[in-house]
Amino acid sequence: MLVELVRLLRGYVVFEARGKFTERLLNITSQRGIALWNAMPQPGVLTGAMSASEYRRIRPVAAKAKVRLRIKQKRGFPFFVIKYKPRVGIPIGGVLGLALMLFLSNFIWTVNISGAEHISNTEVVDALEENGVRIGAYKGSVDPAAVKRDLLLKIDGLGWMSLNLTGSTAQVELKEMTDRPKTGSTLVPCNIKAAKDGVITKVNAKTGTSVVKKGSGVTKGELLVSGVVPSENGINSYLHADAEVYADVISKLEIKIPKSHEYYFLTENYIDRRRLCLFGVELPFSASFRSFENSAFYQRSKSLCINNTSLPLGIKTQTECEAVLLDSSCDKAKAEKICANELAIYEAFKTGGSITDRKIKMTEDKNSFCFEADYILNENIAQSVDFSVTE
Amino acid sequence: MGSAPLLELLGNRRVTVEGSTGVLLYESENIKINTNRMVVSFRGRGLCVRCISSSCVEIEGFICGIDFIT
Repeated sequence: MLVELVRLLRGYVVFEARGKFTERLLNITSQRGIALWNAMPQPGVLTGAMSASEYRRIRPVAAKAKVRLRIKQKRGFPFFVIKYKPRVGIPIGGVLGLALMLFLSNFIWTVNISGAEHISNTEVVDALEENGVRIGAYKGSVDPAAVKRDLLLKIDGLGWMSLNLTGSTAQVELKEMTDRPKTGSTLVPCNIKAAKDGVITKVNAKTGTSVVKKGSGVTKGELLVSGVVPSENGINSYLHADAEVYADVISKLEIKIPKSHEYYFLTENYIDRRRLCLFGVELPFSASFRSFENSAFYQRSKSLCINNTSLPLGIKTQTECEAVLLDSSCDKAKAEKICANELAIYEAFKTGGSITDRKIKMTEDKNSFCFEADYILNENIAQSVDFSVTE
Repeated sequence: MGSAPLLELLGNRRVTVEGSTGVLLYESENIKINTNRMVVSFRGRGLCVRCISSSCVEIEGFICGIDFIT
């Protein structure tokens, strides 16, 4: 096989020699040390193969042997070069393409982020870009250890991350922090204190000594159930107090609704401006000189994807939507309706306990309607507060 | 004996003749090789010269007979 490869690199010809004494050609080639192979005898014809350079030498000698030589086939690299010599652009293009690929492989083509469930991808991308990890960045300028340190400090909720530069892909793997479970050790002594001001309606002390009773008025931070239990022999025992203490708590909510306000309304008119993105460089290719007086912008980008791998070539489209300033007025009935909605949301999501009483007062001034809602809520105001037994 | 040709046979499929001075007849059924003292004729079918140099010839094919012609 190696011999065949060498023959192809040097180039050889398959020829036929016609004449009465083809044996003479064999003798002449052997005497001159010319390699000849695949010599096949046929009546009056001898076919064989010889290297191209030696064939040139044998041609004048063949006349001595009274044979006529004719080339049947030319094979090998030199003949390939001669054939495609006019098409010099093909090898030049091939070499340039290879050089370009080698050059571009030193840059980041894609950034893949995995493992982010609650952390926003945009936040991670922004943090990476601040550290030089972006499409089109030079790989040699990226320090993975420094990027890791910076991201762990910047992004809340990030427990661990790694950055691997594999080929032209920056693979970022994240692991989010998990909340520490509340163990609530019952061995730690604590008191129950009031989380808010209120009037006690019910005390359910599971452990500890209750110091308040139904009807007592308490302020925020006041002791409700004590974890210090005196015994008959004068030695105190310290418990982890546990209790539910319900009290009527006052809560206030103020809602102000303006009588008239301006707001921007997006119409159906829009303008798309497109840019070609190549290795982080953006080239505008749609010219639009129109612009609206008031507008809102949003942007979307699409990258070329091959075999689930996105390439650093894509189109970014920025859409400008026309916004029109409108004036809206609000009468009393409308204001009451808005207030009712706000109160419904507050009562559904913000109040912890049941509503005992509610009073709503409305006042009106020149520019707005003002609603004041006073709630009396019955909720659990017990709050565990640890104490040290040495105090 | 020193100038006699040396024939090395590999069964009846290949023969190497050392001490040859040239090919006298080259046909697929008959190849005659000239040596200093005699002519060696190889009869058979599908005969061809595998390689040839100034003093050595290697013949391949189905050799049925070898004649020594003086």
